[in-house]
Amino acid sequence: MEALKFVVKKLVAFTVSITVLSFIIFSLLFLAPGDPARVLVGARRASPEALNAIREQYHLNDSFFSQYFRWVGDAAHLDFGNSIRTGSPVTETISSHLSVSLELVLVSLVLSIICGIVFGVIAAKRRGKFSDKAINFVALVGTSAPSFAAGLLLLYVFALILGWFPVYGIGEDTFADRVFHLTLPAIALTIGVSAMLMKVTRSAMLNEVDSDYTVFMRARTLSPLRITFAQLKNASGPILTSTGLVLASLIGATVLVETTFAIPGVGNLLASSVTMKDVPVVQFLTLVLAFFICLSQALVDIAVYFINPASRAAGRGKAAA
Amino acid sequence: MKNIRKRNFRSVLLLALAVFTALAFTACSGKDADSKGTDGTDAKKSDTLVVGLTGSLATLDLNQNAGIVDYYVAAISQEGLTAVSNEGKLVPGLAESWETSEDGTTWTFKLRADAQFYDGSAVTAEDVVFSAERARDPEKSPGVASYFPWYVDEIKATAPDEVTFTLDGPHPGFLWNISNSGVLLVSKKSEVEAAKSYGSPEDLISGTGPYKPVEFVPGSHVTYEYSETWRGEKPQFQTIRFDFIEDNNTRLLAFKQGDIDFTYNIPSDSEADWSSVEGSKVFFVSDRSYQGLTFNPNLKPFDDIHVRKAVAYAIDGQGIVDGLLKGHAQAATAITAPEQYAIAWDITKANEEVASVTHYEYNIEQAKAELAQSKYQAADLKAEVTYPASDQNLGKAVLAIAESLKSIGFELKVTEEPIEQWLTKVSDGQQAVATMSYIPTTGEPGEIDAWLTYADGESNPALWKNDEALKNTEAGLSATDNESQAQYVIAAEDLAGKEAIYAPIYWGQSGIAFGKGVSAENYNSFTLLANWPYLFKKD
Repeated sequence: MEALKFVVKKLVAFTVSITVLSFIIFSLLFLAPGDPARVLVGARRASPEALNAIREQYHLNDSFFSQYFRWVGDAAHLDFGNSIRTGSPVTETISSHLSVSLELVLVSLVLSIICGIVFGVIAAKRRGKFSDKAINFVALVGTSAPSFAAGLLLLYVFALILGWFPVYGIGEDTFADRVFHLTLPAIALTIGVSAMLMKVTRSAMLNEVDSDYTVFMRARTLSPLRITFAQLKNASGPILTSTGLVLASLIGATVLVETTFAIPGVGNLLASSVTMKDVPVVQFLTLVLAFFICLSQALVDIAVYFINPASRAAGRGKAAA
Repeated sequence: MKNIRKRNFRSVLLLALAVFTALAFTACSGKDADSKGTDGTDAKKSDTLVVGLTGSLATLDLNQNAGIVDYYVAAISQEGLTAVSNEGKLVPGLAESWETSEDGTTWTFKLRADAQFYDGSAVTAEDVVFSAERARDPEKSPGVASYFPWYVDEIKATAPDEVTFTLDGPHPGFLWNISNSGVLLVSKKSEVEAAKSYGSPEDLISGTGPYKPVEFVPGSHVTYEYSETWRGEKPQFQTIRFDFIEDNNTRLLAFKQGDIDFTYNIPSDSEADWSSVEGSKVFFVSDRSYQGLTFNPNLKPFDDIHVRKAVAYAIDGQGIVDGLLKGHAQAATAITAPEQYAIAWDITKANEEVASVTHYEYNIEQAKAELAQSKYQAADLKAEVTYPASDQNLGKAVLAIAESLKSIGFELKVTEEPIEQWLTKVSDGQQAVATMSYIPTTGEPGEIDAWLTYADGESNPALWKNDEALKNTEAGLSATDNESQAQYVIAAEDLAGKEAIYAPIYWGQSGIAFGKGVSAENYNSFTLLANWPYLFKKD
């Protein structure tokens, strides 16, 4: 019952977040300078009548609240409007881009979690030794290097000099070709976020490595792997929470990485839609991304709740207080 | 215990090595498949021309989105009633002939009997009328409707193969407007009406050009195949693929790798990198674009002609071209570039005529003298100007001008801003001084002047009013022969020059790169607007 209450609470918070976010995004787009009609027409002579007709078509002459509530009303019926640039429904415009980004983000997420946790554990276990220092150094470089710069470096070495990977694009619609094309962008995305996860894991594990129960488990000659898993389970709180943040960072980084590798994902679409002030696309896209981020945060909170008994106790303590 | 730890560490290393090997294996197998094409032969690749586009297409329907890149792509698949040749001349497109009434208000076009859509059906007058009416509807065609000739009163199918346009007066520029570099690209009526979203990956466009779209992945690429319904000879390439690579560094690496055969708009400061690729041909050609400053003569301090002239004198166009743009532009002395007069004059004559337009050679002493005559005090001699982030060359030029102005006691604050903000302000009349960047799509000499020197006080970006200039611009728009039209353009620009309404900085050039084994005949600024697959050759 308590668990159900927790899940419901999280879902309510998630719904409120999405609603507030939709309002904030709409406000920002409304306040941002730029006239979509003029952007469509370009730097040329355009009759005021023609410009006005375009604005009328997309209700750009309406007041802010009228535009917002029209959008909410339509969205409630799953009608998110038409892209100003293509004239097609935004759901159609975005769907072709979404799968590529999801593949890219998922591959990067898995790689980041594996690399971040494995190397974070190694660094914590070998504190002060060469491998710890080396991992720390790599993590420092990883967190400092912007993903697009890392991407260009990877392109130069692995695509141009070694010729192992293609320079750009997503290739044909086959699994092998998709892996072939998405490997370098996935690595470029992974470098920064896995370094972040590595640091969090190392720091969380250090507390466990020095704990009494670790000494006790060692004294009982339990296998190092079992001890490590026990430590990892107890350190999972901050690691899982960071994993949720990692997803947000990955989504943000796709904008630059997709542009560098000319990948037709949502990051690329978001960048060009912002440039063209394609409000319906930007509004829907940011909401979709926010949805994924909020969902992942909610799932992480729920996972922490179930995996780590300490968090439940803390929750009860807070409630009691 | 220590041994167990070592074993674990080794296991991790082995796992990492295995993943790396698997990736490398996938990479090698993928690359092999890619280079040989899906049918496993190299022949397919040699029949394909890969163009690296600097922008991305959101739709194939130019009526919806009419950027210059959209025109380049549409040129191989869709036709207007007229077309542009590689020499910048008007040539027949879907219309094999046309005639005009004596008063120049009625134009009758006879359609070619051998023009077919991709499905083999003949082009009818009904398709042309439908496409023209669609092009002037702002709701259906937001990309082109605002350029649609406002003087067209009526469009009628006067026979199954004949279309008649009725204008409100004589407008020779009309013939440019109905070309595929203007606003008319003919689509099949039934296909447009049946499409849910015309120009999207699900509803590829219908056209009559030599190539038809077969695959469109927004944000990635669009592929065209030679259309067997095309009436002419087959060009050398069976397939033309446009890859959208917006990042200049990535495009350069792709060019070095041999992934793209042709690209344009290469940055002038990386010319050496592009040229270093074995077998590449890299050069710069005029793109007929105009870059300059626009002064609003109704706002302080530019309501004083001496201030406008002072700024104009302080522009070292040649210095900007030589120093900042590495020689890849031409210092401008007027608005319209000499190459834009191709239908009226040869380049020597065009250069002479353009040089006759009143302009202000760089002279800092003269600039100081003009400023000294101004009615404004030193404290009032300041202004702000913005440039679009997408045009860094223009930004560099304006920053150099600001430095030059500082030396005469004029403070010009320069700010970069996103292109959409810049576009919104481009003609709102709120800026005392603004930057202007215009790339003409047609070969009509008066294309830029139809906006900039249309001096009715509200239709031009300077909100400039001058009855004589307006008269000249209107006369240019309705002149019945190319040479008199060009003369009117020169006259209007001269009046703008005398009042120093616009301060031209440079006429742009575009960097072109051809990869190994591909070249083009007489590549120039009209090439990508013409039926260009015929101009591209395998070496």
